[in-house]
This record gives sequence, C-alpha cells and structure tokens, in this order.
Amino acid sequence: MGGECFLRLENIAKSFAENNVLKNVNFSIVPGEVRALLGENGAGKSTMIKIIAGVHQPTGGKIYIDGKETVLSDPKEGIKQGIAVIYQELDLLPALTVVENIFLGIEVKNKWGMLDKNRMNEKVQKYFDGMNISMDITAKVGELPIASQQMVAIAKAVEHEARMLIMDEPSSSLTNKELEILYKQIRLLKEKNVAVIYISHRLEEVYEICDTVTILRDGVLIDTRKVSEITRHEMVSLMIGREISEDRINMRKEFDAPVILSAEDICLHKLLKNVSFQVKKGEIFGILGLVGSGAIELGKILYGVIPADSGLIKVSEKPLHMKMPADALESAISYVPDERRAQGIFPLLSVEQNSVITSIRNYTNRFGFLDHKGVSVAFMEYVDRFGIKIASADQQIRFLSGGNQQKALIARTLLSNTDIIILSCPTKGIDVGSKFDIYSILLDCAKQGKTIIAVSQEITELVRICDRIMMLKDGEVYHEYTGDEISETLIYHDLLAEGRKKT
Amino acid sequence: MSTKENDMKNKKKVFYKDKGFGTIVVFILLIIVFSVISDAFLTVNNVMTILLQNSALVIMAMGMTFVIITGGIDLSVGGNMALCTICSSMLVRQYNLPIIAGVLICLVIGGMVGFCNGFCITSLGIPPLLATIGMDSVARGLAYIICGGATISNMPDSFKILGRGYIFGVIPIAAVIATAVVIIYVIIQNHTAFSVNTYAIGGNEQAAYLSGIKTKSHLRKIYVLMGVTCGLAAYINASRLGVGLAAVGSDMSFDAVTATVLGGTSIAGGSGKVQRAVIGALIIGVIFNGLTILNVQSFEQQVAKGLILILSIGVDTVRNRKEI
Ligand SMILES: Nc1ncnc2c1ncn2[C@@H]1O[C@H](COP(=O)(O)OP(=O)(O)OP(=O)(O)O)[C@@H](O)[C@H]1O
Ligand SMILES: [Mg+2]
Repeated sequence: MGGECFLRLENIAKSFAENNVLKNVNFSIVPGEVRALLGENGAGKSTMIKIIAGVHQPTGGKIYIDGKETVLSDPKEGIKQGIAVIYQELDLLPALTVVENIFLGIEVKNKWGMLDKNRMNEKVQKYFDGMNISMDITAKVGELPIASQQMVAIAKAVEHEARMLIMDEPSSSLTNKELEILYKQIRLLKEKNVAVIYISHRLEEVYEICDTVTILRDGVLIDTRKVSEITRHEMVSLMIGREISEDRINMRKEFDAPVILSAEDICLHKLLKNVSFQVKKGEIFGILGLVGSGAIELGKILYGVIPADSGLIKVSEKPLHMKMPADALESAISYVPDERRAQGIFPLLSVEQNSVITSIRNYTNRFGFLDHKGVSVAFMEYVDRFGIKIASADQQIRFLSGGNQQKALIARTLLSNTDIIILSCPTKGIDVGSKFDIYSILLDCAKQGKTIIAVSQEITELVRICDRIMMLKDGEVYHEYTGDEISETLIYHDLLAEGRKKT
Repeated sequence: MSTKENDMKNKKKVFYKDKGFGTIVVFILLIIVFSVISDAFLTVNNVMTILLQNSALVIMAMGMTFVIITGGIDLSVGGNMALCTICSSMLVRQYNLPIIAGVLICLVIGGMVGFCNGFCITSLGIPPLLATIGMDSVARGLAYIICGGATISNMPDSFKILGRGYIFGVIPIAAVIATAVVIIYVIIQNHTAFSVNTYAIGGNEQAAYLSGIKTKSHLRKIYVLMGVTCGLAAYINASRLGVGLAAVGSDMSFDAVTATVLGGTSIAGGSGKVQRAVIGALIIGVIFNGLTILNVQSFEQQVAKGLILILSIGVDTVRNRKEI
C-alpha cells in the first residue's frame, strides 16, 4: 500500500439541528485499500459515508480527492468522482428490472440512439455467470429477495467503474454462500485498485476481507489500525468503551415446561415439508436455516402472514385459524419482521408511534381516546432499556440509524406484551454491545414465562440464547439440538453436511 | 429528562419549515392583497359570505384528508353529493320531513356510496383513482335518473335553515357546523388509535398489516367516513341553494383534493393534517371571492384553479424529492 491517498477527510463535522453526529473526523484511504468502518449503532458511520457520497453536506471541514479540495454538493458529483455507494437501505428502483437498474445513467445505446437491450443483457448475464450467481436479469428488482438485490447493487457499482466503493452493511442479509461471492467481488475490485470502505457489525468479516480498520464512537474517530495488529477483543472495547462477553448467556442446561405452541405437519408449496415441532412455555426456541430452507417462511406462517397449505398450529391445545396477523396478535403471538424497511418501519411516523403501533389499543380509554402519557411512559422505558438513540420521541423514525430503527421494532413487539414472541432475524444491523443487551432482555422475558421463537441464519446468535435449536434444511427438520449439543462448531458442521436427517 | 428539553428546542427551531407554514403565509398574503385592492373584501358581510360559501368544501376536505393520508383518493364526492342531494330533497319534499331526517338520509346515502368505494378498492383491488371515478359517474347518473333531470324546487322552509340561517343574525349556521366537524376531526386525528393506524397504512401498508392492523377493513371505514362527510356537505350545499339539483358538486372532487394538498397533505400518503386542509379550502374560497369582487370572469377563475392545483402538487413533489 502507501502512495497517494484517493480520499482524505480533514476535520469533518456534521450536525443535524442540535445533534452533533460527527466531530472533527480525519480519515484517508489509498487506492486498493479495503477499510473496515466500525462503530456502535448511531456512531455516525452511515452519516460519514453519506458525506463522502455527497448526500449530506458537512457542517465543517474539507474533503480532498486525489489531493485536490473537492466540494461534493450532491450525489451526482460523488458519482462523477468515481465514488459508488451501496446504502444500508438499498436505493435500487424496485419497479425497474435488474438490467435497467445496473445501467441506470450509463445506458448502452445503439447507433440510432435507442437502448441496446441485447448488449446490456449480455454484459449483465456475463457478469453474473462469471460470479456464479444465478439471477433472473429481466425480473423487477422489487420482486427479488433482499440478498439478490444486494448482488445487483454491487454489480451496478462494478459496471459504473467506480474508483471507490462504499458498502454500508452489505452482509446483513446475505448467506454464507453469498458472502463468499461478496468477498470475491471485493478482492476483484482490490486488484483493480479500487478503494473499498466496508461497514459491518460482524467482526469476523473484518478479519476475512479488510486490510485496515477505523473505529468511530459517538461521532469521534477513535483509531485506525492494521487488521493484522488488532485483536477482536480490542476492537470491541474501542467500539463500545466497555467489556462484554460474547459467550453463551443462557445458562439453563435443561429446560422443561408444558407445551404452549405446537405445529403439526406444516407444508408449504415446495418450501416446507411436514414440519412438526413443539415449543414449551418460557422456552427460547431457535429455528435455524439458511435462505431457501423455509425458516423465514415458517416464522411467517406462525404469525398468520402466509397461510400454510396444510398442517395444524395449536396454542395451548387450541387449534389456531389465522387469516392475518391481526388474528395472531389476538392469540397472543407477536412478530418482528425480517425486512426492516419493507415490512417494519413507518418512515414518516415518530419513533414513539412506530414503537407502540401494535399495542396502541392497550392505551386507549373506553371512548377510544389515546392515553398519550401512558404511551410515552411505556415507550421511554424501552428507550432506556435498549439504549435507543433518539433526539426526541417525536423524531421521525427514518432519521434514526439503522440499528436504532431495529431496536424500535423489537421494542414494538415487546410492548405488545404477548405470550409468544417470534423474531425473524432479530439483530440484523445491531452492534455487538446492543446485541448483548437485547439477548439479555429476551432472556428476562423468557424467565417471566414468555415464549421466544427466534428465526435466524446466524448460528452464533442462536447458540448464545436458545434452550433448543431446530435446524431446517430444504424445508425439512434436520435435527433438534438441546443441552450439550448446542455448540457452534457442531451445528456449523451439520449445517454444511450432506443428507436430509442427522444420523 | 433531557429529551423534553430537546423536544422544545426542536419544535422552536423548525416551525417555519413546517409543511403548513407556507400555506398560512400564502393565505395571509392573499387577504392583504385583496383588502388593499378592494374595500369590499374585508367586510364582516363578505367574510361571512366566504365562510358560508365554503362550509361544504371545508367539511369535504376533512374526509378527503384522511383518504389521502392512506395514500388513496376519492374522486366520487361530486357524484355522491348529487345523489345525496336528490334523494334527500325528493323525500323531504314528498313527506315534508324534518331537518334531522333530511340530514340522516344524506349521511346514509353518502356512507353507502363510500362503502361501495371501499369494497371496490379493498375487495376487488381496483386502484382508488379508477374505482372512485367510476363511482362518480354511477352516482351522478343515478341522481339524474331518480329526478328525471328536473330541479327539485318548492322545498319547505325548514329545508333551507341549515344553509341559509344565521346565528345572532351574523354567523352562518353552516359555518358553525363546519367548525364543529373540523373540531371533531382534529380530536380524532390527535387522540385516537384509529388515526395512528390511518397514518401507518399510508406510510407503509405492508408494515401496517404485519403490525396487526386490519388494513382492508380500516380502509373501508375510511371511505365510508368520507362518504358520510360528503353526505353532510351535500345537505348543507342543497340547503343553501334551496333546491335539489343533480348537477351540484361538479367541481367538488377537484376542490376537495386541491384544498387538501394545498394544506400540505402529501398525495403520496402517510402524512398530513386536517386543520391545514381548512386553510387550503379557505385559500380557494378567498381567491374566488376576491376574483369575483374584482369582476374576473369565471373562465379565468377556472384557469386560476387549475394552476393552483398543479402548483401545490408541484411544491409537494419537489419537497418530497428533497427529503430523500
Ligand atoms: N437526516 C438526519 N436527521 C437527523 N438526525 C440524523 C439524520 N441522519 C442521521 N441522524 C442521526 O445521526 C446519528 C448517527 O446516525 P448514523 O446513521 O450515521 O449511524 P450508524 O453509525 O450508521 O449506525 P447503525 O450501525 O445503526 O447503522 C444517529 O443518532 C441519527 O439519529
Ligand atoms: Mg448505518
């Protein structure tokens, strides 16, 4: 490395109204460098890259590109300078096709000035083939799963021949296989001397793909180090300024209680085949499965979002007939959706309204009027418990950092105070410290007799909190892990193993 | 707690950026301009006339705001008004019904048309724009069929009280009713779960569904409510005219949408405030009253009206784009 910086930030500051989000940040990156940007939820990572991209204007400081002072007045300017960004909240156009999205702004035209669709299709197809990604390139992006959308966003940056690529939590919805593809793409970009900024809350990824790491805390740049010279432990304490354990926090070896929820022979059109299981009252039950295993869909069936083709769900021995989520809630089941932006938040409503929306009926008097004070007290309790960073309760949720939005969604579910809580990918985008807090809260809930069903593809997460983990593979139950079987290495081994049933 | 302090600061700092603020400035400017140009404008009489003429529109804008907050639109209010007017005036004349019965007939018919809108939109999945345009034609056609195209005149005096009566000889009863409706709507908007759910549906329908809101039945209620408000507006309008006409309200859909959007309610859904739609409606009222006083022809007024709608939606769109 070494040589000329591609980008340098000098004393960059940013505040939104009274809220100082970035304070005197000095940062530089050279071509071909892969830099990790770490920090707690709300530390200012996304804000920093939005300044680099020209989305936000800094309130102080200077930006240098190739050593020349540059003002990035809007995103267009950033793109012109060769800066491509994959935002935390993907900004593809859902109604356009994959190809149209990738070539947006750099459309290939034939000699008549018309779009040369064949050429564009060919190029895109070649790219995805080269990456070993199967992709329907004429599908509308909005109809693709989030992971594929992520792949499209990366392809777009590559086609635009960026000199620097910034990725804001690209991995939060990817499976291991897709992660490999992502690494491959990053290495390719590195070879082409593209500078990369990589934001993630998963530290193992930093060791896998990054050369250097920069840590932000509360808007202050704490340190920049070589990845090879910093331990995981150091990274965490620099990030959150306190020590936390990353071991299993559920200390129960065995757990027994009456069954509260049982599912019998759940089938769903190719995705789920005769899945049966029982969950006990007060248990933390994990459903583990990669994308395509049917785990996410199973979570949705339990909450009445999609109907199963056949099978029976019973809560406390009573069969449930759910037509929609409202019915599930009436049977005391609540749910945290897996796609925060599409299914979770109401961007224009306040954080408070977002958090109480499912439980709002509990805060009305018999004339139907809202008890504003009660709402506010309940909400503030969760703000404190989760450490949700907000400027005020009236702040629109879209102005919160991604991780803080997710915390508000979990608060929403806990506020609805149901006996059974289903969480689909519960800690997507949440920092290491807050993860620990959320797990502790879930554990508390379980101790109070609430039943937790956590759907996830992260083994680590489930191993830390679950009493029992059910692994799904290709829509079938592979194995249920209890007691000493709950070990990361064992489960990881099984996840990759061939075969339909554990032998 | 320090968040309280932040609250105060935030509110103070950004009040002029508030979506409603520009509308209020425009409103005040209009009043100043017209009163400078014409002595006849800012008189008690004329102000009361403006209030009376626009009571129906203000009431209509209340229902429309809720509809637009959900991300929908109701373009059937004109036809709905005609149907309510004809049914109510014919029955009232035939059986010499009291005021309350006339009003009830309007509310029920209006609500029924609203229910049909809601049914087409939620159960059949027809986009609100198309469903309500269709319903507009159906309702107005029915109105003409029922009255055979004739004007329903010779109405009993009681029929004209709500639209032509004054309290203390100066304040139009219609304006008082409109004020009451506005107050009720503001209370619903600020203090009920119903309203929070309405904003939620407009902001992200899928998330609303997953949050346990019965989105379809909620939307049906919204359109029924719109229909009922429309019924009330229809009665007041007919009572002011003193006759039942199947041609009434031909501009009503247009005016109600304009008033709502002028008040800063985003046509994209998810945000808006009913009290601001009142200002929107009064802006329209003031412009027409002012132009009429200045002897501007109705054709030019038509042009002005179109420009206002385009301008206000344009501003809304630009503002939305900036916020991304
Ligand atoms: N447009 C905005 N208006 C007001 N405040 C904002 C805005 N954008 C961000 N903030 C605030 O700035 C702070 C930093 O947010 P940012 O999104 O940069 O955090 P982050 O480090 O990316 O966190 P995460 O890991 O959760 O994504 C947050 O407290 C957030 O509320
Ligand atoms: Mg972020």
